[in-house]
Amino acid sequence: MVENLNISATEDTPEVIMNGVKGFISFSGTSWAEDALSFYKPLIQWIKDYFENPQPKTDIEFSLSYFNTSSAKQIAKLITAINECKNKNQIFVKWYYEKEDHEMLKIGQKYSSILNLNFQFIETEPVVDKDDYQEGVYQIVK
Amino acid sequence: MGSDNNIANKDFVIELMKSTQKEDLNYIYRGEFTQNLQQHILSLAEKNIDRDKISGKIKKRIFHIMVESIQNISRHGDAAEDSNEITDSMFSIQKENKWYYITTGNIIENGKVSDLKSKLDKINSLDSEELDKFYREVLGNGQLSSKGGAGLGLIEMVRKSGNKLSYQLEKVNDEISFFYLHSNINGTTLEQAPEQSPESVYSVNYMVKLHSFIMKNSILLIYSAVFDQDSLLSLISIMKNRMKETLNSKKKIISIMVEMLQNIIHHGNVNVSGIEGCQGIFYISLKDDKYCLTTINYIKKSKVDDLKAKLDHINSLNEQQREDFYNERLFDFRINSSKEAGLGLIEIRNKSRNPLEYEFIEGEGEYSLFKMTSCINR
Repeated sequence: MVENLNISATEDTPEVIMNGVKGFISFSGTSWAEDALSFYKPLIQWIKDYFENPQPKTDIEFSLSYFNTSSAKQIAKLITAINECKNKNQIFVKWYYEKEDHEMLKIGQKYSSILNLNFQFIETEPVVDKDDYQEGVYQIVK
Repeated sequence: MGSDNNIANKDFVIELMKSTQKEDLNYIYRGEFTQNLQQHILSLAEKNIDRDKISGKIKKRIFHIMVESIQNISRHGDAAEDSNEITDSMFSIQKENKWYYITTGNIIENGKVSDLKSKLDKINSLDSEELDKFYREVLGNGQLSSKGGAGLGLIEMVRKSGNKLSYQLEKVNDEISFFYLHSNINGTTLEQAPEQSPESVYSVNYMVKLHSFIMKNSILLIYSAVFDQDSLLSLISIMKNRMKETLNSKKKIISIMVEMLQNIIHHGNVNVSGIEGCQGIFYISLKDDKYCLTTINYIKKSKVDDLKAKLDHINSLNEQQREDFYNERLFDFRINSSKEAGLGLIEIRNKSRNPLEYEFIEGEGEYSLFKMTSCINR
């Protein structure tokens, strides 16, 4: 059994939850890491180790609001590693995208079209962080 | 930098780049100053100053002056409800030869001009002892209006910099003028500044001209400095706050910005004239309902042809071909990072829905300048 792996979100890396007992893996937040290779390398290794002896059912969630192309490449690698496991029909991928974020939906579809996995696309309300300009809330400080 | 003549576009770019060669900083923000924005604008400047090899005591003083300056904008800037070209305030910090220049600009009602002028002239006429005395007086006599209008902030700026304030007022119309306030501080000594020659430094006159240039070109922000992930994150926070767009169009612009800035970080570390780090320039403009993002960085002359071929190839592809090209590169794990794959460039091309505009500006020695612009319709 692989050890659980939890990584808190930073300004430029996502929150990662990898729970081998529950068969639950999730990525959420922003992935703008400058060195995406180093960030994703241990995660890809964890996936490979976990799928040596996986739970009967595994849920994987991607809920990213942003990622750069360096991360896109590493996520492609990560999903490919999942794709190479046995019992693929017991793996369920949920790809969350914020309402009207067609780009995020499109890249999810890109991953799913190339790989042979159960992909479910789920639309969510957009996440507004404190740095996002909002109509009405925005005021000039006097 | 430093020429007092009219600033032409190409010269402007080259002048900016020259300034990065000397490990200098040229950072100008124009727009609103909400509390969030003030915080991010200052934080980016602070990250830069922190890197400089000057004493902590002087760093603190510089930071103090920046805070007073930026508060001055929000305190005295008679900001109109609708922001537009003229009423947008400005904050800027430049560094050249160990001198730091901090300039702010904001509109002021014409009726308040003479009062402000006499306040500034009085402060500038005092020597340091008189200034301390005056400071205590103002502090003691409780003349503080709700806007802190007694001029404490201005006195503080002189005390912290050790130098007099420069200012300029440009009449906009019968109601308002634009007020430029400029202070300078030496990074190595707290001694007084020599008489400034307007040709050799970022004088207030120069800033007035630069401001009119950036207004004419609808530039919202210029950042010419050493780039790293930290400054990238600050720049993004600033632009997220600054752009009044729907979340999704903002996301698109931010994503393009990340790719362009990381391009500088990945490729710009060329060590020109012995300076470590990735020197570059980023600026963003909003004109005719189009955001245009520009980056400029050094490139080895030997790599120019390859990059040019890559850019031309991406520009020559139609949407379907770009899609295929992207997918092929995304899943080709022999190319380990996106850096070699050119994924970033395709992403910029796809998200902007406009061809990549680029230019190589021949430089001296081993390096040329690579300028790339990506425009996104609102």
